[in-house]
Amino acid sequence: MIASIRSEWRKTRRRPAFLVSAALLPAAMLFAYIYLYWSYTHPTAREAATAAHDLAGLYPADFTNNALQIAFALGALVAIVVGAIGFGSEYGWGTIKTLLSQRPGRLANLAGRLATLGACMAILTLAIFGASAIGSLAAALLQGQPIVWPGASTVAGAVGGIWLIYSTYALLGAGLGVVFRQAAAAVAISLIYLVVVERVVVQRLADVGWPPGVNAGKLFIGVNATALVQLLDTAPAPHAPAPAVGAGQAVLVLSAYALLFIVVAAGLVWRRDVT
Amino acid sequence: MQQTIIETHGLTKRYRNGVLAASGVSMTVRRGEVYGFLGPNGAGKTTVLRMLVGLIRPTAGSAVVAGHPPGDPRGLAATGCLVDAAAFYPFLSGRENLRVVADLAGAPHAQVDAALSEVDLLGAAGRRFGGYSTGMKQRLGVAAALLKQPELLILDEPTSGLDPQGMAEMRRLVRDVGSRGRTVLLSSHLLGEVEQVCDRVGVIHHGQLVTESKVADLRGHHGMVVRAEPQDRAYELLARMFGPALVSRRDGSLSIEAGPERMQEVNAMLVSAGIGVSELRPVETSLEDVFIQLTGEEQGS
Repeated sequence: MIASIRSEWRKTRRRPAFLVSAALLPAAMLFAYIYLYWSYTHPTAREAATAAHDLAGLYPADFTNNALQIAFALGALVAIVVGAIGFGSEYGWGTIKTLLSQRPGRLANLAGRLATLGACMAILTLAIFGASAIGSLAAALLQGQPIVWPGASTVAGAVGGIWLIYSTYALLGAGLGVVFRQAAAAVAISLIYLVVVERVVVQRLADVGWPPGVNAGKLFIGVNATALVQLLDTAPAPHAPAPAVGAGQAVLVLSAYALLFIVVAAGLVWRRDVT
Repeated sequence: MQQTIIETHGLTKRYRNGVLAASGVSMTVRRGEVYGFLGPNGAGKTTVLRMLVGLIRPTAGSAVVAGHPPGDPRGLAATGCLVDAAAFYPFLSGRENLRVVADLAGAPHAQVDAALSEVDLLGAAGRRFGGYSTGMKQRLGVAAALLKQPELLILDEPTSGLDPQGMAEMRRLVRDVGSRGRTVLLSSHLLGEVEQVCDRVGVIHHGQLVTESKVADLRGHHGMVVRAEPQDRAYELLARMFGPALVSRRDGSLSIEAGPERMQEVNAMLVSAGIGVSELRPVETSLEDVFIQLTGEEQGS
C-alpha cells in the first residue's frame, strides 16, 4: 500500500485537476476577504451602520467561520471533480491496466489511491483555512486590531469537519468514476445528484411529508454536511435556521456514505474485468 | 527452478455479451525461450494475455504465471508486461511516468533511465507523454515492462504502430532480452516477426490454440529438391531409389517426396554415378502456408 501511495502521490501532485483546485480554493478565499474588506471599509449608506461589526468578522478570531462558509460553498463541487477525474480518468486513459499489472494487488492499489485522495482533501482543506488565516491576519493588521486566534479545538473541529465533508464528496466522485469507468459521466451524475437530488428531491420530500414520520432529508449528504458546518460555526447569523441534525449524526451519516462509496469502489475494482 | 514459467489448462473466457474470446487454451511457455503467440486479429491473443496478468478472470480453466496464479502480487513482481496499447498519464513526462510505475513495481529509480535508454527514449524522457508519437508511446510501454528486470516479459503486439526501422529495433530488443535468459511471450499477427524472433510458437484461432511447436517444426520439411545434370539420368536413378511415384520434375529440377534425412544418401548416390549435383536442399513449407492451413486466413508478414 505504501508503494501505491507513493506512486499515486507522484502523479497526483502534477494532476491538473488537483493543482487547479489547490490554487482555486485559497484564491477564492483570499478574494472573498479582499472584496469584503473593501466593502466594509467603503460601505454604502445602508451598510454604514453595521460596517464596523461586519469588519470585525474578518479578524482572526473568526477565520475558521469564514473558511467554513467559503470552503463548503465551493469545495464540495471541487472535491467531487477531483475524485471523479482522479479515478475515472484511469479508465479513460487505460492507465488502470498499467497500475493493476504492477506488483501491488488490486485492493492494495485501491487503498493507496484512496489514502492519497484523502490526503489531497486534507491539503485542499488546509489550503483554504490557511488562506482564511492569512486574510484575517491582514485585515486585523490593516485595521491595527489585536491578533486573537480561536482555540485549537475550534480550529481542529472546523478543519476536521471540512475534511470529512470534502472526503465524502470526493469519494462520491471517485466511486462514480469507478462505476462509470470515466470521469465525464461521474462528474455529470454527481452534479445531477447535488442539484436535483439533494436540493429539489429532498425539498419536495420534506414539503409532501414523505415518507410519513421520517425526515428523509436527514439521510442525505447535503443536509448533514450543512448541519455540520452550522454546528462548527462559532458565530452563526442571529436568525439562521437551526441545524437539521446534531453533530454526532452528521459525522455518522457522512462517514457511512464515505464507507459506502469505498465499499462500492472496492467491490467493483476487485471483481470487475479490466478490458 | 521450474522448467515452465507459464502453464495454462483449458483457459476459457466468455464475456457477458456471450462472446467466447478464448476457449480451452492450454499452453506452456518454458523458461528462457521467446514464445510467439500468433493469431489473426480478433483471434483471442489479447484476451489470453489479459488473463495471464490478471486483468480479466477466466470463465473456466486455470493458469500459473511465474509460479503463482495470474494477478498474484508475487507473480506480477516477476512479470513485466505491455498488454494492449501503452497507457500512461498524458500530463507527465516519459521519465516521470516510469517513476510512477517504478514506485508501484518496487523498482529503484536508477532503473528508469536505463530502461529509457534501452528503448532509445532517453532523449525524449523529459517530454510529456501526451506529445509522444505512437511509436514513442509503444517504446515507453516496453521500457515500463523492462523496468523491474522481470523474469518474464509479456508483450502484446509491441511493434504495432512502429515504422519499419522501429519495428526492426523492437525485434532486436526482444531478441536481446531473450538472449539474456529472460522469457518473452510475444503476441503478434505478423508471421515474419514471429519467424525472426521466436523459438516456439502457439497459434490461436477463434479463441482456440490450434497448435504449439518450435517454429522450425511447424514449418516442417516436406521432401527435397535436386538440381542435377544430366537430369534424365538423375531422374532415372532417383526413381529407382525412391519409386517413380515419389519423384517428379518441376521447374527444371527434380522434386523428391522423402525426408531430408536422406539428403546425404542421395548426394552420394548421384555423385558416385557421375552426375553433377548443383543444388540439393530440403523443401520447407513457409510459415504463411502453415498458418493458412491452420487458420484458413492469410496474414500480412
